[in-house]
Amino acid sequence: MLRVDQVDVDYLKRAKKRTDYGGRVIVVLLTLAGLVSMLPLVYLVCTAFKPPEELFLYPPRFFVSNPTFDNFKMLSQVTANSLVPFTRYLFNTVLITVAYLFFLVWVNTMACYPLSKHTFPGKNFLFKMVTFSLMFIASAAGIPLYLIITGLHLDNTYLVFVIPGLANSTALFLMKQFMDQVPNEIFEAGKIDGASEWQLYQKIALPLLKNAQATIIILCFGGIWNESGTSTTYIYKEQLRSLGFFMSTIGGGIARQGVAGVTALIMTFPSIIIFVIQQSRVMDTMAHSGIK
Amino acid sequence: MAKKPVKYKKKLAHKNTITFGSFERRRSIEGWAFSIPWIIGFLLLMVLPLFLSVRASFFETKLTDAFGFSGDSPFVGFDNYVEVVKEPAYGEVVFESFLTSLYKVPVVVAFALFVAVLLKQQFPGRTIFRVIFFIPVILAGVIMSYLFSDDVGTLSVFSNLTASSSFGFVYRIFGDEIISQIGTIMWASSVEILIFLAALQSVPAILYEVVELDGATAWESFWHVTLPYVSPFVILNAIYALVDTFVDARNPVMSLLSQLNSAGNKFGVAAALSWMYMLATLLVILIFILLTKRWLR
Repeated sequence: MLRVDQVDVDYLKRAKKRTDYGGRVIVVLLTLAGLVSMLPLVYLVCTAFKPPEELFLYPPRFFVSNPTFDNFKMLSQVTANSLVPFTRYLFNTVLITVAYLFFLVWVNTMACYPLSKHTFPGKNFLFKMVTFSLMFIASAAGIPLYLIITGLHLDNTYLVFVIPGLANSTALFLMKQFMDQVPNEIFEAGKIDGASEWQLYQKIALPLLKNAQATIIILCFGGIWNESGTSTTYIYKEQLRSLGFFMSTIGGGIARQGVAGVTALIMTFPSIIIFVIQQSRVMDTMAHSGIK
Repeated sequence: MAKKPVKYKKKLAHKNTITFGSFERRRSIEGWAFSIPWIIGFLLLMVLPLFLSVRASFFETKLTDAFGFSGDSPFVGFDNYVEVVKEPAYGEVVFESFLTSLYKVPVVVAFALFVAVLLKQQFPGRTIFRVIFFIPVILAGVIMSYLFSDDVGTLSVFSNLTASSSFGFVYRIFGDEIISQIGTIMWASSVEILIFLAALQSVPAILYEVVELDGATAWESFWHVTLPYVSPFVILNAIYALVDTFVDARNPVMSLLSQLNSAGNKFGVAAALSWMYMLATLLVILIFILLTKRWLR
């Protein structure tokens, strides 16, 4: 019999070396691919620091040669002179982002639970409709959607940012796929212990869907944070408009290309922070320890 | 003392006989109750606009009456559809967008799976790499429109890069077009990478241990452990990528549609075109699902 302390130590050392080597290959490969993915961001940063004469060079330069803070100064001038204080736009965007993400996760997790774990008449039809609406072309129904939203008097309220995006087919589709991975036995065990359906949803389904929730939050955060289309279409009170809209108005015109680069850069930071926070939840292996 | 449990039992049995017949019904009510907020939103803000756009596709729409309710717009039957089929420019654009997604989708999914498997490994700086690959989704909205130029389907950044002198050697070797395509594909695959990463977490670590003990290489364990486990997500991602390229705002069909929509009296034609496009997309996805059905667990 081979005892534990008789395990071939040399082999283990070699194995360790081998994984190290593999790790280096991974880093090299990812760096190459990552460099290409990084280019647009690098370009964005470069543009933000470019003086006007470099912005309009032809052929265009990728990197900045004489970096200046002129664009930042110009942005602070513009925000100081805006009609509505800058902080109001910021407040609006934070409010609608938090509300939207909260209700998005709530509505979609609630809808995915019975779709995956219950049988009820019309379930298959409902899910087919969801799959079909993934192919839904937004511009095809843009005009009817406008009429419905104004008919419900949602325009000119914060609700117009939140409600239309809640029944999100992509989110539900993803959620259901994750829910399908959760074994039914966990819910059966909960039921035997006398949990009500609401408790099953809240105490079992929600925690197990943690990484799906984080995925949805990451996916939808950028969209709502940078949102400017809804402000343009449905809101005509300046106080209710979002930061994304304000930033897009700043960037208008060729003369302010550099300022647009700066605003784009500033708008990006919260998204990156959210991603860094949430990504550990997505990748959290512990979340799946109860599964399979 | 002996009476009480009997009473309790009787009560329970009695309760069971009444509710047992309607157990299924209760379950179905619960099922609907949980889904109801989603369903209401879905019906009101998705199905209803879709229905109205179907209706509009059968009318010669006027600005005053987009959906043919007040009678200003004459009912034309399938004339709008016929117009779409007859006009060769429309067909060309649709065909072109189908061809593009035909080669894009496999590349996007393969690239995403490759990167996700790499990103799952333990190595220094993993979080930084995850952020880098997720930048395209982070940069959604205002910034994307800023980075994209008027020419359809390519990032102006990438063409700028190849046009600028600092990377001249890249341009000489590969050419402008290929660099843009590679960049765009990498940018299109970030959501898929995230889905794969989440899916890879559900592969039991014990299986990797088992195949490693059996002497499998990393390559073999990928084909025999990882891939079978994530195969549903390969299909999901393929569908996602397919839909994504079809309804992408930079797709030539989309720009054609917004052009028709803003023309005022062409709303019916636009609705007809978008419905035919949607049905074609659905057909492609159905064929895809039928073809891949046997690989699903």
